[in-house]
Amino acid sequence: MIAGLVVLVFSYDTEYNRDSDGYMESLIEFKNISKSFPGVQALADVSISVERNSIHALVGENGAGKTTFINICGGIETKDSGDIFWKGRMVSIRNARDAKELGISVVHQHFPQCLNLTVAQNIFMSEFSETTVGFLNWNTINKRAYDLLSDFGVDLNPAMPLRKLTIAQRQVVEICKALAMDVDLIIMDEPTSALPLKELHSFFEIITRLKKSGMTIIYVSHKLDEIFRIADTITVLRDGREVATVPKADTTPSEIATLMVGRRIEELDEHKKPKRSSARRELLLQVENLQMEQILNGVSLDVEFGEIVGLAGLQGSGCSELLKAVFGLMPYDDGYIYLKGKKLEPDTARDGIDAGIAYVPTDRHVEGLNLIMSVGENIALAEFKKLSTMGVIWKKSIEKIGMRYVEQLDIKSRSVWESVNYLSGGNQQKVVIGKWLATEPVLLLLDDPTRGVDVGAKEEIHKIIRLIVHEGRACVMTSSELPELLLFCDRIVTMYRGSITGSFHADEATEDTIMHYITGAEEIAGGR
Amino acid sequence: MGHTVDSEKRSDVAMSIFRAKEMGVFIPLVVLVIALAFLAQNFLTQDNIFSVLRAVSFEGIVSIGMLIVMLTAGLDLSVASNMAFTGILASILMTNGIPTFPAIILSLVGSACVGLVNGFLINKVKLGAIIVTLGMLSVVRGLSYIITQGMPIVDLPANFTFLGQGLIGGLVPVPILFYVIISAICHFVLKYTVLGYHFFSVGGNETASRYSGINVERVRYFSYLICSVFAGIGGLLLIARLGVAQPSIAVGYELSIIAAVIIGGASLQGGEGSVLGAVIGVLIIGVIRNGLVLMNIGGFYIQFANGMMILAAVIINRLRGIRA
Repeated sequence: MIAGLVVLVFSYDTEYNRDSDGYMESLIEFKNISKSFPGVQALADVSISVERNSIHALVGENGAGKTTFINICGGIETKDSGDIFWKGRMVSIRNARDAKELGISVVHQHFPQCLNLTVAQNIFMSEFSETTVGFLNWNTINKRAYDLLSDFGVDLNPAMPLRKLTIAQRQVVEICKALAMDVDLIIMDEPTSALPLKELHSFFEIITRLKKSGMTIIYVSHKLDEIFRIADTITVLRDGREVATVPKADTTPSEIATLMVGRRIEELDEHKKPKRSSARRELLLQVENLQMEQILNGVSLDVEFGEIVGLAGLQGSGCSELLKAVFGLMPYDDGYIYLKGKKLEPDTARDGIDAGIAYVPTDRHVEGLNLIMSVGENIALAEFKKLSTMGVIWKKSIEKIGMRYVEQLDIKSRSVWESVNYLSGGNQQKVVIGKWLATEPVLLLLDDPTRGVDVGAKEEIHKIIRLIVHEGRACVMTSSELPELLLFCDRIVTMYRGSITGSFHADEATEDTIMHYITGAEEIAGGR
Repeated sequence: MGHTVDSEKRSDVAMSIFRAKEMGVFIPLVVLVIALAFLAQNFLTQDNIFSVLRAVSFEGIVSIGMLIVMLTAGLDLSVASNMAFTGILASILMTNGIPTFPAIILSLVGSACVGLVNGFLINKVKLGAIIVTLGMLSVVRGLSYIITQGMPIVDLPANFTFLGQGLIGGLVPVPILFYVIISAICHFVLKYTVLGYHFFSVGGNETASRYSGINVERVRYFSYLICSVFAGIGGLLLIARLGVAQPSIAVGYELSIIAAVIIGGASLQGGEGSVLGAVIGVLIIGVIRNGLVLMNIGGFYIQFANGMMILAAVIINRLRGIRA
């Protein structure tokens, strides 16, 4: 009731402002935009006015309609009804080219890039597309790319093929690509989801600089701390509807979070964190002196039953590689892995699975899901052998295991036979996790399991993992968000350049200390 | 209570038939058949129907193998050469006194070897499927010419030619029986076995498959092996039908086979397609060919019509959201 009232007040407020201020200040205005897909009303009557030279944040859970909204702005999808006003003039955006000609650029979360082309070629790709015939002066182009990148505080060789870059570096390139076009509005979809922590600061600097130079930005994110750091105005979407639009100064993060989920999220409280079951103090996993050339130099790690260990480290620290090596996806040169005291020499994922290990990869689209297959089939993927009798597998057994995890993880899909492609990001991630729970592992290795997942789904995923670990298993995870590790893990192990630099119990760790240990600051201070 | 459940189930089945992906190609086939029934005399006669079915059996069997390779996001251009190669291998063995059955088995081992080489070069040497099988297309065809020195092999035993020319119950040609059995088995394998799911899985997302403990290389070996053996079976039946083994048979068949599979809704990028679709694809091509002949429209038009059919099918699939 109260939430409903708040909504009413807010929507009344925005309506009022719009009428009194007129169109002069808004760069782009959306009026009653609606869009539906088969079975889903993705956007219903959404009206948003974005002021010139402002950072307008768009927040909402997965499935709230943010992506659809972005796609309509960028001309990737067309609206069913409603009007768009650009600089006070009614326009129609039918395709990506229309959007570009108006001066709108979108930086997508899963951005498509040409990995075979160089950094500079990617940045200026859209400029080339306009000159069908013409000569290219690579020196000038590389120079321009270099200037753009150094503005971003990034030292990258513009002639390097994109293939050789990390995901974070590719994202920087993608943002530069938007900057290179002469645009008035940049729409950023979860821009920091792939950025490592140490690049965050320079990223926000860029955003601020962009705004100073007169740019307007629509900033789509789950991360409220980011939004409160940079945004001027915040619009909350829920279930395809605009719930509220408020100036940042007039609201608080917990208020926005409440509006996003429609229920009050309990303040994250240290004391409310469930204590880990201390019934068994047995070692589950022992890693001894694991060596991998250029990546890991002598990593040793012990994990007990019932423990959730967070591996904290920046990109290139070797956290992900350590998980992959234990699971059998990456060969190691030297060292030993013991699981329940038994020596393990995993060569392939099958070895890991058979030993009782599950590995949830970072990138669900590339490494986790078969997007053509259904929810049920994806959940059964690692367990086809066990579900079959003499190689024959019946639909019923897939349906059964699918249903089990759809229910357990509360995956929102119409049936187990729905293609995972149609699910929202959070639900897709739950399918990946379901696939690995189906293998009934004793050890869960989670490589950034909640990347790009909204607050609600994140909480649910945490709850499920906690529950499973309590049943006498263990979990080792990484995260692109340090606070997640601090809040969720029992113990945090820091890594820097392929070595373990520290181990902290959750109570004694703070973001500040951890940051010291994962950036190598501690090593420098220690004079080692 | 039981009754309502039953009727619900029935309507479910009806709905799933109507919604099936194959409907997109089944309807054009039906339209084609109806049109030809009016346009071409003799089209709907028993003789003609069986002759169309027999004519498509050879390529049909190979297309099932091709479908499996394409499900894993691969491609096998060497199938037509392999058809000739296997037929010639068997013919040479038989004309040199080896009984029919062992000769057939040995020649199929020969065709399997082609598949293993394809699989090896693609899996271990990490070469592209198109390049590898394009090379094997020439190598294997060349081998057939070398073995025979370009001369046809005649005087094949009667129990062998029966496989291509014989009728069951005086009515149904033997190759059709082979085609039906192979299709039925593969339909089952693709829908209800671990191996079948693995084909779809590897084609849909290779990385996710490997991370899920699937032995991607082995799955790929299987696909090329099955495809080659099916090419061998198709070649054997075709030569049994012709009664003469020539090194030049089936030249260019690989393209119409790939076309049939694509018309049937398979994607070159893997992960999509079905046996039912591939069968319908083969039938569409066969019916067009037959119809044009019956209507006395020259052979020049057949190729044109086939091409148009491929383009139409790919466009339809694209409109229905299948990656072509």
